[in-house]
Amino acid sequence: MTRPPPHAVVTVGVFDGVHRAHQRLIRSVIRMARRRGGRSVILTFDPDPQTVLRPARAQPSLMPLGERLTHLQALGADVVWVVPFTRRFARMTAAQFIRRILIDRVHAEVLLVGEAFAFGRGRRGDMEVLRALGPRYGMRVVPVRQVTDGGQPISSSRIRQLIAKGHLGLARRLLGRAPALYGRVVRGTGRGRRFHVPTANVQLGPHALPPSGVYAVRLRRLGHPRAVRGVMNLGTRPTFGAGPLVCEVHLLGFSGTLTGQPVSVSLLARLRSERCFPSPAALYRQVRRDLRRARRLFPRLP
Amino acid sequence: MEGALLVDKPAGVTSHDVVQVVRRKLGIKRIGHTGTLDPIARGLLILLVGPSTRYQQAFQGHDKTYEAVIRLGTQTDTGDAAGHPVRTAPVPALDRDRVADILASFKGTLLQTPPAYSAVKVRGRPAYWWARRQRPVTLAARPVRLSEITLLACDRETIMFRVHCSSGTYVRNLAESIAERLGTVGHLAGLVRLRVGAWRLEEAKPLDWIAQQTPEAVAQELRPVAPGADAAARRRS
Repeated sequence: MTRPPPHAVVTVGVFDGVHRAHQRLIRSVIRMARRRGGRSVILTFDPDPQTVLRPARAQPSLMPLGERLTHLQALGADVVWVVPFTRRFARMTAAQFIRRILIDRVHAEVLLVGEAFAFGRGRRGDMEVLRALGPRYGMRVVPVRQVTDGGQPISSSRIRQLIAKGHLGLARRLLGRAPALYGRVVRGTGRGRRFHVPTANVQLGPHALPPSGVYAVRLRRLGHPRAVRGVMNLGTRPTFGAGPLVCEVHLLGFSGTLTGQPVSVSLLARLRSERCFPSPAALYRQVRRDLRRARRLFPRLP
Repeated sequence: MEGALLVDKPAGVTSHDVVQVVRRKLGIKRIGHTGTLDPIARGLLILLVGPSTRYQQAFQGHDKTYEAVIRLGTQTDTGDAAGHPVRTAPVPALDRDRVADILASFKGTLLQTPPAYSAVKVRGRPAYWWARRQRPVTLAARPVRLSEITLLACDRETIMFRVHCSSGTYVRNLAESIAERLGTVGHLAGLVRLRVGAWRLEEAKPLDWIAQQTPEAVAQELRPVAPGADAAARRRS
């Protein structure tokens, strides 16, 4: 006689940013699973259902899927399952989702979700529906109170707005880590070469961005533990209006090649706003001043 | 969802066709392009998605870089290989240095009259609308600036060159003028747009890649647009 599959304590969500409220929810799932001798399971959707259901209104994500998974897995759950949110999947009703996914696939015994969680076609599957249908399948539904900070809930959209307005400190507190930009290092124009400042040109992906300016940052290749400190210039090349948003990271003490690598650029502190320079030489004199200032600041930065 | 999508447009489709493909793929109607690329031309076509369409005006003024091929000996009604021949002339023997000199003579500012088959609006409609109905309009000459023009290759009947020019330059027109200065006639047989402002073709995705990918993969290619320098200045003041 085969053993029945282990029962699971489950949570479901997009978890964009894997912020502090997500972390607290997931840690509760893990603790409860351990107490019950079952598995802890995180179900996360990709892409964000909003980009499939209402693409014109979809907001930029805080991070790419790869980073989201890295942070989810680091919390230590037994299973992280990425559910592809296709148009076909979106047509599933709440009851179908509970039966086919939560019960049949995951063997959920307990489902922990935020109070405001809603799902299924027409968002008809809210907490009431869950609590009505769940017990029919032997699944207990536990609503989790929204986590607040400063009287307001911690949410991905709130964090996105904070980053857009440049409130790095508060964004960092809600995320539980420094907010970051994500992209890929591409071949640059080589302007900096004769000034001997190693520079990574980052082609930014479609994620939340802070205001233009100069920031002290830490650049990390995705999947690598080691980070390089530096100064990032985010903004325009004034000669071309409506040009590509430029992200140049001038690196401290790095040798080697980054071209082609996906990277994250963690924002530690804003140094100044953008400025126009009369010549490349003047620009790089300022870059060196920024690097010296950042070097003095770094020991005090988290 | 917003940003700029860099597309490598193949020859044989209109710029509007490209917009339609991307509209269907992303499920968003609010998409515009930032400057027509002729159906027979290839290369960089930049689409603006969602709220980023507000930058359309700013793109109009961008410099462009093209790689162009002139076929000598035949003049066409449209100025390119899609049109009907209207005149032929013998092609003199070409000396590479002489061709390079003649190209160099176009560097700087010159006056161009937009061709009858252009998209310049006359009485509310593009000039080509009038031309197709056998009522071609004459358009006023406009100054354009060629900051760089380089000979890439030439043989008995064709000249390939690269040109960096101000917004509004008609490369068809330039091809005809070059042929004329060489003592013959010609038309534009090939055109690739390499750059629009600071945006480069090498960063663009081919249209058939876009057509075959999932909407998410295409959305990942959307690039943030920096506001114009004047918008940034307005914010600072």
